[in-house]
Amino acid sequence: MLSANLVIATAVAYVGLLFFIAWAGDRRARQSSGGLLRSPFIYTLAISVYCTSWTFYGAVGSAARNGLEYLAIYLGPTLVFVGWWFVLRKLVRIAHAQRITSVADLLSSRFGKSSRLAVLVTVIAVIGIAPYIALQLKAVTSSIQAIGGTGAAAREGFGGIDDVGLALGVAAAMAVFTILFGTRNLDAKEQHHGVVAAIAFEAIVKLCALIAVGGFVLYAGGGLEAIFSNAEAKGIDIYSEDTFGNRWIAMNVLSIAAILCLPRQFQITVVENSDENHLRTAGWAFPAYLLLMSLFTLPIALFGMTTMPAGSNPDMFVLTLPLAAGQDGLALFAFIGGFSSATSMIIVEAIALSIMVSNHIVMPIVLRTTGGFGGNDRDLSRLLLNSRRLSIGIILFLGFFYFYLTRDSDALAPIGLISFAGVAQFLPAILAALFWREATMRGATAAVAVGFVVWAWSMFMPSFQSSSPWVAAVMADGPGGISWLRPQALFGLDGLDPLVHSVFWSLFLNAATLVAGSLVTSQSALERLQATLFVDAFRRSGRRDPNFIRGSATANDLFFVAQRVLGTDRATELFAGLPRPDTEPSAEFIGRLERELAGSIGAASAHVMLSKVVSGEAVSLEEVMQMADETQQAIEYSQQLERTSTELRTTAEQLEQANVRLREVDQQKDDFLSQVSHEVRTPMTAIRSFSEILLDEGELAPEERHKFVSTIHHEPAAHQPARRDPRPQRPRARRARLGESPGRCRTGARPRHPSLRRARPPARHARRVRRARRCGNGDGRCPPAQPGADQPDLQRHQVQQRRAPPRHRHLAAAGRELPGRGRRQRSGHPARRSRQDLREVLSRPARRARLGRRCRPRPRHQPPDRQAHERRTRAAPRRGAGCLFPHHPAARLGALTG
Amino acid sequence: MTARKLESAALFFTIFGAMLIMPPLVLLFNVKARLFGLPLELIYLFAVWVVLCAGTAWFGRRLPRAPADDDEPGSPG
Repeated sequence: MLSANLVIATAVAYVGLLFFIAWAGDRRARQSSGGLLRSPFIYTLAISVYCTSWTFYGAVGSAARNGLEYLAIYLGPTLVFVGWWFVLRKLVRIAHAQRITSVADLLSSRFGKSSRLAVLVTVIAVIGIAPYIALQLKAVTSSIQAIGGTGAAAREGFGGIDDVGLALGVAAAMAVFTILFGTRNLDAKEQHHGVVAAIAFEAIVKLCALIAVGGFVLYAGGGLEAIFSNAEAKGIDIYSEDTFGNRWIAMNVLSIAAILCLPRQFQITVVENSDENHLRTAGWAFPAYLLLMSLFTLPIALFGMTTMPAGSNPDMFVLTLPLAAGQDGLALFAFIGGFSSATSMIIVEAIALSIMVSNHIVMPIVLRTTGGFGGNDRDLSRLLLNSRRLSIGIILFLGFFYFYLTRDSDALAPIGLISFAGVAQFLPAILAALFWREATMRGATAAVAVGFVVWAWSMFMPSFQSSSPWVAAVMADGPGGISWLRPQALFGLDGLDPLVHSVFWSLFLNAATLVAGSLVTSQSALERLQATLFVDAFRRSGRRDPNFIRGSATANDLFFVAQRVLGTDRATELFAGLPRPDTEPSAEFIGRLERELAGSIGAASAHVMLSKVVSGEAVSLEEVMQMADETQQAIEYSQQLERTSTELRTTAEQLEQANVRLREVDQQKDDFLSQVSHEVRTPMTAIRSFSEILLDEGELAPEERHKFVSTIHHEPAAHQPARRDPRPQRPRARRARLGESPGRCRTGARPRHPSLRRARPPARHARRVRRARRCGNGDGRCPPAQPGADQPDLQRHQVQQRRAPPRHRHLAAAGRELPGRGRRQRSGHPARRSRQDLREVLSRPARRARLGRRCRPRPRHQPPDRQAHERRTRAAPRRGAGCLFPHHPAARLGALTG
Repeated sequence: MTARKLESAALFFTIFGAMLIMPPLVLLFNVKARLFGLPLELIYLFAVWVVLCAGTAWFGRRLPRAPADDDEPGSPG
């Protein structure tokens, strides 16, 4: 038998070792980037703080009483970690982005940084965890008693104190440990590297201890098969026939909720997580750890039941079996394992709860009573640390108080299940926070409150049945005789296992309230923004978080606040990037500062604090929402503009094309008009010249005179085809102007300038017939019509070549050589060229002088009819384009735009 | 397998894993039979457990890694 002093000395030495590990871990984390401390395996081992003395001692007791049921407590977390990609990863991502420090902070932050919800969650967590801490105290007390012996001798060994006094001593010692461990300093992210290192070490110790005991049992029992056979032979049910019923499902649900909602699990899994990818390893390694932890539970329980005397406490088989076999060393190791699992749980749980209490209860009170920080000389960091130390003391005292009230109950596992069911009330709200955008703060608050009340009534209160006659009476008859309010038969639903009953009603009413409340109430602006940040956590990564506080405080004021909360070093580091202390920091910076502060004092408190300092007023979130609406409108308007701009661009292109075509057609028209005028003028000039010669000169030779007269006679006849009435041809002429078939226009009927119509000969039909006859006889004056002359795609020069211009005919008649075809082939204006030719024919100087006077050349670049044409067209606007193309889209646009 | 399919596979792996340890499937193995001297349902539950661990390890190595935008399909896994 081990002496009590040795046991206690070993425990103290073990705690000293833990201190050293935590100190070394902290130092290492500060000095380097962490290295081993940041490895995923340390993280996984730290998560196994889930395995408390409930696992170490209680699971064996549970297996002895209910067979395989104990596995449900480990299969639920296994499922959560198998599906880490869907829930845990999102939780970790959000916690990193929002600097979440606890479950209360998560829910408060998601639901509009609500202080009320944070307080509610904190209170529920503190009350709900009390049984769990009591369980640890009970386990440690029992283990000390078991290993130190029971009875009078043991009492003497412990100085005559009973288990209550022992538990009080354990609680006090644990409080001191935890305070020394967890509240030495404040970290911006609430990460405790030293504690994590110590917890990881403890995880190895408890696993090794349990496996050592398991190995011993296998050795002592003669192998697995023998253990099971012996147990069966002793009439123990080894097949767990009634295990997989409602209770199995309820326990799985509870353990799934617990691994997410327990403050210490949230602290280790989410808050202490330094890298999201660590979940990849933890996803399989933590279930594997749980598997190893529960591998030997059933054999130990069966072997204990087979070999130990009837009436011995199955929860302590892990200790009593080695002791019974005289293996004191193994027993001491097992005791250290159990002690280890209890201390790790208490340390982390108390730290997590104290953060919640100080951030969500103490801080708001301080903020409200001091009205900010002006004139307050107390260091806020010190205040926070002290409030945490006090909270740890209170939490452990509550645990002890619960232990004291329920000291008559013997089993460990049911106590733990009460805590599990208590924190499970957060599960609907957490899932809604992660996945349901419409969940509202009021809905969540009401849901958590309803779940808590139902749990407290149906599960927490009945645990005092043994110590309170009033509770026993209520459980038997209901309050005031209202039978449908009996705690374990709510609404007349009896016949269920009390655990299943409570879990069903509390979670069902909780979820129903959440859904109904969220559907009935509406979200505030901040809630809506936070909901988007949470639900779309993966989509929003990399983007800047929206800011809720407008900057109208100087960097000095903010530094003052940051210094008080974060400490001087951290604040200096944070403010290092700012240009000048008296400038107004950007909204981005204030947003970052708020998140940093939230890492220390929680989202709600940080928000309240900064709202007070910055601009001294509550931030108008309606304004933010309005801005968002305006942005949305601006985006829509800009999209509209873009569409309009595309249409405009298309129209402008069409307009450009139309313009090009217009210019082409205009050019064609100018060419056409100048040619027409030239072709009419030339013969006229020639006729006038010849007739003048005839009139003036009397001494002409008769043959010469005859030649002149016949030229005069033939000249108009040669122009007959060009002098037909243009009126029937007008549609075609218009087509030509539009550039549709220029060749056709030039070959057939050429439209006349209005001024030329006067010169139209009367009997055009007869002349056309005559001309056709003349052209047909091939006398050389009228070239035969070329094939394809009427084809619209004929080039202009072909058209011009097809007929000899009339101005050349009198030259041909005068025996002169025909000039090169096409006026473009020669320099000079055609009218002047023909006059020059004429002068060469008429060699007399006097006549030449007269002729020169009469036929004064026109300005070179302005054909005569161009002036007339411009006079005509000036009357009608050309640019408006409506006159030419009234149905063209460009014309319509022009009419619209003016 | 694309990243999106892999994600779906991981989800269904979790869901079917949960179904395997819940009634009524678990009741199939809750018979008075022993395998290697152990109750069948004990072996069954631990076997499911091992499969869940192994499957999660397999998925953990293959699910997309990029921390910034790992919701994007086709990111390296």
